[in-house]
Amino acid sequence: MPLCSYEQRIIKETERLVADPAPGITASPHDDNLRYFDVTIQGPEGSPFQNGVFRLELFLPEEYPMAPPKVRFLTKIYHPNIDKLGRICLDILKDKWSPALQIRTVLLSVQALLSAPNPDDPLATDVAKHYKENELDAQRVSREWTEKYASG
Amino acid sequence: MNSPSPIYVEAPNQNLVCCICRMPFVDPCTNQACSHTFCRDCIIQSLAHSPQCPIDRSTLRIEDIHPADPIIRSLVDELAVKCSNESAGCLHTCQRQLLDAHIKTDCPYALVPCSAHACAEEVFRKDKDGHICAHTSVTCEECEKSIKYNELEAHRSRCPKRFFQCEDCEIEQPCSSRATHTSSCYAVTVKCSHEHHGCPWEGRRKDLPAHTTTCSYESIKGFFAIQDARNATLDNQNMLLKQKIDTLESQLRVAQFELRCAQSALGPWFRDSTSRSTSVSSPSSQLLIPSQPNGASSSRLYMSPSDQDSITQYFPDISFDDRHTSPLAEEEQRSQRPAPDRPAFSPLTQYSSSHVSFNDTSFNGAPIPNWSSTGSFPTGTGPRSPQNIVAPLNLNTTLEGSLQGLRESVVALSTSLDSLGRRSDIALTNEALRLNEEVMSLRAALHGLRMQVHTIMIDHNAQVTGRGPGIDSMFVPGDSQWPSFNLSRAHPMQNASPNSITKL
Repeated sequence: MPLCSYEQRIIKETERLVADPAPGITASPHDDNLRYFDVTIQGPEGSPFQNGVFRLELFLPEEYPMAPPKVRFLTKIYHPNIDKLGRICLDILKDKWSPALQIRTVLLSVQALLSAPNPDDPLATDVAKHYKENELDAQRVSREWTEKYASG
Repeated sequence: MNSPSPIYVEAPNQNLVCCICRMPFVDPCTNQACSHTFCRDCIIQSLAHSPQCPIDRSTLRIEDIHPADPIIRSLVDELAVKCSNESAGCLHTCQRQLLDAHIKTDCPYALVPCSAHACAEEVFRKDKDGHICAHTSVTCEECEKSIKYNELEAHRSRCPKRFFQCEDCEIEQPCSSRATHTSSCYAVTVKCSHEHHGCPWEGRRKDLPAHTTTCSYESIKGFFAIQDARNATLDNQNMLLKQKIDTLESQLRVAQFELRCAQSALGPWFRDSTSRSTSVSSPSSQLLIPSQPNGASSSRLYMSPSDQDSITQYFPDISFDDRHTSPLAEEEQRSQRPAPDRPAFSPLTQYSSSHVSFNDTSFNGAPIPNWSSTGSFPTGTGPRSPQNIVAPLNLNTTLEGSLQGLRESVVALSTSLDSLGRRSDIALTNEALRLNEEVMSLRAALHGLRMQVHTIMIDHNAQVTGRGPGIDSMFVPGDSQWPSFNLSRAHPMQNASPNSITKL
């Protein structure tokens, strides 16, 4: 019954997320499914996403922590590594996942990704092209989107 | 991991926590390349997903995994944990490595299979013995049949002994209410409450109130109450009196027994106190008896046959034949008896002349060979010195009186014996002196005769031989003294011889 132990890990992680949240990040599990979390991330200061509050969903698959959690933006965001469906291009959510990582570290990585877009490894190719050709204009669009979709 | 992770009593040191399961290591293993430690199960699962170290992502193969240092193993194995049955109620805590043993053998809240053969249920170890499962056999309280526990409810609803039909009102009732129903059933036959006073009424309970209003005994209920109370008091008193009588009877038995003992101990001295008391208390009878010639025969009524038997037993030589002699003869015999011979017994002797007479007859009947010979002793001072074997006993007197009399007799006897001895001594001495003198005179006479014979012989010899002293020298040659001695002795004899001869 390996899940027994790993369910306990999930419970411990959840308790810590609720009791001692990382700055700018909230995560709360659904009452009916403890593996499904509603997450909000504040846009990091100094980034085009400043003052925005982005909603995400996080799901811990059955194989967690051997397999990475599945994270998706619910709020529209203009970011070269996040596509229209909210999917995130982040290495630790894919091949660089390690069982030593946890929900908190994943969300901090996502928050860091907002501060440092990486157009060289794009997911939304048009946004990445925009960032590469005219970063200021792209940041302006990002700010507009943040104000438009992530200010509520 | 094969078992749910235990609950640790204290928050464990973070250095002992596996980064994969976020719990203290279980069977820790170390990657020799990068020296990171994980639970064995955790790292094996992790490697199945990706062949790299979860911490530094360096390449890692399952062959590089080795058991961790024994120190680490001990550190995690000795962490204090709570029993995994804590939710059930077990408050046991122990080292993690001992937890399995606790649950397997000791924990009272561990689930174990029910002991019943066909039961698949699991119960707490502490409840195992008292556990009632569906397969346990129980006994129906009513019909005492053995039934499976899970069938008991169904059985109860159709148990034949659960209901009974009242014989009087013919209504079916549950058994449990049988006692209350019998005491309250309206159709049961009851008797009037004054039955013990004599009311013969008998009928159903529902008719009882109607009867009570007409019952003649009911109207004198108060009288009955008083009477009952009085009866009870009398019964109590009776009981007390009975007890008292019982006590007295037992005391009487004891007294009778003691009396018998005293009677047998006293022997012939035991007398019926009624004869004494009557004779003592009524002086008239005392006066009457000696005056009447028939007094002795009437007084014999006082003597029971047992008295005679006891006396014959004590004095086998005494015959009672003389008792049938006429009272007149007795009087005659008594008058013949010298007055000093009467033993000076206690004054009780005077009270009943009949006993005195009996005493006399007994002595008369005794084989006394020489009654009058008492007087033949020259200085007989004692009242009596009988030579027969029977002591002068007076059964009329008290035991002490008789003994006193006997003692006095013995004293008198001894004094008379003493004086007798002295007298005979004096007589013997006198006689011996006289005889001695006579023997002495005879001896002197004999000596004189011998001397005379000797002289005659000497003279004769001198006449035959012609010389005087010749024969003396023949008899005693060389001894000139003998004849002189002989002569010197012969002279007084010769002088005295005429007297002795004349005497002879």
